[in-house]
Amino acid sequence: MMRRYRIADVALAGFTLVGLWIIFSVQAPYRLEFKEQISIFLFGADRISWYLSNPGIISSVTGDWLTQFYINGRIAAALSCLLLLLITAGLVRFHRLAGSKHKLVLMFLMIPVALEGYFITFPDYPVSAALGLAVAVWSACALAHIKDSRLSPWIYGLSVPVMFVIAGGHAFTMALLLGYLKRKDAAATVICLVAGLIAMALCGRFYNLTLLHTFIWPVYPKHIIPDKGLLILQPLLILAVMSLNHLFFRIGKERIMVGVLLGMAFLIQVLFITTRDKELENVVKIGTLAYRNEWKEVKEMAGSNEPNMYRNFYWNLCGAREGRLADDLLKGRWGSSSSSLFLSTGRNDPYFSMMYFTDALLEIGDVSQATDCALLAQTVMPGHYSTRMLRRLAEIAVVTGDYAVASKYLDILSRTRNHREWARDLQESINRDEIPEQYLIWRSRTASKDHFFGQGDIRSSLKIIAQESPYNRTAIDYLLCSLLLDKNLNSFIDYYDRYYLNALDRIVRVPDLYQEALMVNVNSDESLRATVEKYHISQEVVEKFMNLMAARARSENGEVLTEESVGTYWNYIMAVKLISGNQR
Amino acid sequence: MRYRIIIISAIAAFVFAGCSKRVADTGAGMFPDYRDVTVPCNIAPLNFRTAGYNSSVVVRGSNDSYEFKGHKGLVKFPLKKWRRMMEAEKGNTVTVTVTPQGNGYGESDKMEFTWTISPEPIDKYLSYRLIEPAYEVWSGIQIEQRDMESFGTVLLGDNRNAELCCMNCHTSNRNGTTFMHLRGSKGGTILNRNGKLQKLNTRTENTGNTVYGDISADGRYGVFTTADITFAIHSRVDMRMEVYDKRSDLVVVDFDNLTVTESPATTGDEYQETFPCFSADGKIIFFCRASHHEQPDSISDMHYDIAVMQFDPETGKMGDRVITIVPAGENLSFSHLKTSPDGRWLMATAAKYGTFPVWHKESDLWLIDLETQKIDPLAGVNAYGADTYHSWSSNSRWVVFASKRDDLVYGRPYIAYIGPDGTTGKPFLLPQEDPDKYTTTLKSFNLPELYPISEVYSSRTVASFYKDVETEQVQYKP
Repeated sequence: MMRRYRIADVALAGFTLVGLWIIFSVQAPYRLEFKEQISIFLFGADRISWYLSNPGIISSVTGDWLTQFYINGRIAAALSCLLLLLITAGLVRFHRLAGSKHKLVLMFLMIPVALEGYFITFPDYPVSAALGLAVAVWSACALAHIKDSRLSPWIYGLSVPVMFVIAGGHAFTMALLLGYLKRKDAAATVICLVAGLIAMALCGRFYNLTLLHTFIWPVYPKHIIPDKGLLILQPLLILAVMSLNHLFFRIGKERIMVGVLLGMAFLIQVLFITTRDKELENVVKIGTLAYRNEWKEVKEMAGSNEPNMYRNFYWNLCGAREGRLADDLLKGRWGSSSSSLFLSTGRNDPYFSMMYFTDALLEIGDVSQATDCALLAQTVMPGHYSTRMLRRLAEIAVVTGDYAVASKYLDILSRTRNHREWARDLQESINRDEIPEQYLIWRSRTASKDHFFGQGDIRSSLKIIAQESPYNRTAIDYLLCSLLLDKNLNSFIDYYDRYYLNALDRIVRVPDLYQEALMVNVNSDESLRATVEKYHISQEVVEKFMNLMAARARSENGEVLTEESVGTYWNYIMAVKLISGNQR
Repeated sequence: MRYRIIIISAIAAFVFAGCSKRVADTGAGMFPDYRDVTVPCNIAPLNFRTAGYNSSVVVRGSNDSYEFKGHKGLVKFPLKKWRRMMEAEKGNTVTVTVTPQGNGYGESDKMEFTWTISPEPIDKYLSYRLIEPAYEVWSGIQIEQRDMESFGTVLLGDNRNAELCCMNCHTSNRNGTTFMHLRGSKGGTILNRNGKLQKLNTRTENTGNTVYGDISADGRYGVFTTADITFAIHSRVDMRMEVYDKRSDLVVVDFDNLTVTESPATTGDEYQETFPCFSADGKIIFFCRASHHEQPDSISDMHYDIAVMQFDPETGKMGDRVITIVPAGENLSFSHLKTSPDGRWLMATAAKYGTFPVWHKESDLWLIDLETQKIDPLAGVNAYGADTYHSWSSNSRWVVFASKRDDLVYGRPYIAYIGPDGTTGKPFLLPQEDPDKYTTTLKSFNLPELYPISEVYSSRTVASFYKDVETEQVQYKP
C-alpha cells in the first residue's frame, strides 16, 4: 500500500513538472529568457564586492550563475520548473517534519508554489529570489531536526539574520515556518524568532535597505511586478496553508479534494501567466527577436497583433531598415509620432523603452542618444548590469571609434559564458582594424559637426543629423514621418523641399505617402498643376486625389473617403477629423 | 592686493600643454602602470596584474631585499610585510623586478622598474563619488571613504536610502569640517564641524542653492557657487554631454551665525562666477569668472578667467573689487580651483571652454605658483582624456584627481607627487586589493577629496538625516 502511494506521488510530481514546463515553454519563454539579458554573472573583484555588500550572498551568486542558462527559453522553463520542484519538495518535507498528516494540506501548498511560478515569469524577478525561497524552506527542514528544547529557540532566532545574509528576504519565510514548528512551546521560540526578525530588519539597515526591501530582497520594489503586496503575502500564505492542517482535521474524502485543488492550482497558474501577462510576454518577445537580429519575425509579430507602443515602434523600425518607413507607416498602426516612431525614455519610463529605443537610434545615426539610452537602461534596471546593454554599449563605442571603452565592455563580456565568443570576435576585429560593415554604416550616419539638443529631444537631433548627412535617408524619413503623424504639414513641406526635392528624390522613389501629403493643401486647379509639376507627383496619386475630391464635392459635409483612399495620408487626416466630429 | 595679474602667457602654456598630450600607454605589461612612480610612504600595497603568469617579485631597497609572489597574474603584497618595507625604505628608491615563472617565459619577459618612496605621507582618507557615467542618472550614487593605508572603505552616502536624490561635493577643509550636498525634497547640506552634524538649507529668498564650494581653514566660513545648472547633449558622438550654468554667483556662508552674504562684485547677470576657494590664510577668495553668453548655443564662448577678491575673516565680508589674475583665452577656460594648504600653489583645470570639463577630453591640470606667478601645464601629470577634480593632501605634497585617461569614459582616481619646488612625479592609480575592480566596474570614480581625519558619519546617518532631521535655515545677511 505504502509503495503504491509513493509511485503515485512520483507520478503526480512528474505530471506536475511536465505540465509546468509546457506552460512556461509555451506561455512565458521570452519572459524567462529576458532574465539573462538584464543580468550578468561575473566573478571579478567589483562584482564580488557587490555580492558581499548585499544580503543573500549565496542565493545571489548561485542565482546569477543559473541565470546564464536562461539564454534559451526551454532550458529556462526547465530550470524554473526544477526550482519550483525544489521548493515544493522542501515544503512537503517540512510538512511531514512538522507532524502534519493531511495530504489535503499538501495540495493547498501548491497555491504559494503557483504564486512563486507566477513571480518567476517576470523578467525582473531574479532567479536568486526563487532560490532564496528554496534555501529558506530546506533550511527550516534542517533546523527542524534540532530536538533540544532549550537550545532550539536560540538557534532559530540566530538563524534568521544568518539566513538573511545567505538567502535574502526569504529568511522571513523560514522564521514563520520555524515558528509554526514550535507552536506548542511558544513563548521562548516566539521571543527568539521575533528577535531574529528584528535582527534581520537591522541587518537590512546595515545593508542600506528599506524595511520593505529587506523583506523582499533580492527583488527591487520599484520594478515591474505589479502586485508587490503578493511578495509579502507569499510567506504568510505558506504559514496559513500549514495551519490548515488543524482546520481539515475532520474532513474526509481527501481524494476528491486533491483533484479539485490540484486543478485550482493549475488554473491559477495558467490564468496568471497566460491571460494577465500575455502582453508582457509579447513586449519582451519582440524586443528579444530584434536583439537576435531576427527582423523578419519582428515584422511579422509587429504586423499580426493588436497595435501597441512597442509593436508600432518595431513595425516602423522594420520599415526603416527596409527603406520603406513611409510606405508602411499608415498600414494600420499609426498614432502620434511619440508612440509610433519613438519611445519615451524619461526617468519613470520602463527600461524596455530605453533598451529598445537604442535599436532605432543606431539606425538613425543618433549615437549620442543611443549611448544615453543604453547607459540609462542599464542604470535603472534592477541589477545595474545587463549583458544586452553591455553588448550595445560596446557596439556604440565601435561605431564612434572609442575603441578603448569598447575594449572595456568587451573585456567584461569576455568573462561571461554566453557572450565570450561574440566579445572576442569583435575585439579581434578591432585589433585587426576590420570593423564589421554594419558598424561602418552606422558610423557614416552620425553627425560630424557639433550642435546641442536636450535629452530625449529626438526631433532636434533628427534635424541636426539630416542637416549634417543629407543622404541619411533613415533619419530624414523618421523626421518627415514624425511631422506627418503630428500633422505638421508646413514643417513637412519645408524639410521635404530641403532633403528630398532635387536631392533624395533623384536616388530613391518618393513614397506615395509624401506625395499625398504634398497635395493636402491643393485647393485649386492652379495649385494642383503647380504641385504636380514641382514635386513630380505620380499619375496614380493624382488620379486618386481627383477621385477623392470629386467624391467630397458630391457629399454633404465634405468628409468622405473613397475606397481607394483608404490607407492614404488623406485618410489619416480625415479619419481624425471624423473622430473629432463624433466626439463633438 | 598681493596678487597682481600674472603676465605669463596662459595661451602659450596651453599650446605647450596640448603638445604634451599622449595616448594612454596600455603596453606597460602591467595594470595599473606602477612603473617608475613616486609613492607616499603610507600608501596601501600597489597590487597589480600581469599577463596571467605566476611570478617572483623582488623589491631591492637600500636596506634590504623583499620577496613576494605573484599568482596567475595577480601580484598581491601582504599588508604587514608591505608596511614594514615602506617604513624601512622611506626616502629611498627601490628597484622592483618581476620575473615570470614557468615554461615559455624568458629573460625578455622580465620587468624591472623603480618606486621612489617619499617620506611625505598622503592624507589617510580619500572620499569619492561612485556614479555611472550616464548623462543624467542618479539611480545608484554612492559616496565612499577609502583608507589610503589599507583597502578599507566606508560608505558615507547611498542615495538608494534618500529617494535616489543627487549627492555631491563631499568637501573637507582637512581640519575636521566637511560638507556634502543632498538634493531631493528633504535634502540639505550636511555640515560636519568637528563631529557636530547639521542639515542646512543654504538657499534663501535672495540667493540660490549652493553648489561647488570650499571651507576656510578654521571651518567658520564656506564659499560657494550658487548656480542654476543644466545640461545639453552634443550631436558629435565624441563629445557626449555639456553641463553649464544658466546663471551663477558666489556667496559666503557663516557657519557660526548661519548667515549667507554676497558681494555686488560677484552678483548680477554680466558675469558668471564659479568654483570659489579660499587662500590658505583665508583672506583671499579665488574663483573662475566669465562674461555671460546665452547657453548652450554660445557655450563655446564661455571662457572662465581665474580671478580673486578679498575676504575679511573677521567680519565675513567679501571684497567689492574683482581682479583677474590668469586670463582665459580663445581656447582656454579654467575651473576647479584649489589652493594648496601651504599657500604656495593654486591648481586649476584647463579646458577649451565652459565650466564642466569632465567630458572634455582635452582637460588638463595646471599648476600656478602663487609666489613666482609661473604657470606649469603639468606635462608630466596630464594625459589624453579628462584630468579633473583634483584635491590636495594636507602637506601639499600630493594631489589626487579624477582621470579618464584609461578609456576616456570612466573616471579613476590618480595620485601625483608635487615637490616643494613644483616638480612632479608620474601619476599612479589608487591601488586596489584586486586591480580588476577598475576593469569590471561600470562606475566612475569622481570628485575625489583627500583629508586626514575620518568622516564621522556613515550612509545610515546620512539616510536618517535626509529623512528625519529638520533643516536649519540659513538667513540672508545683506
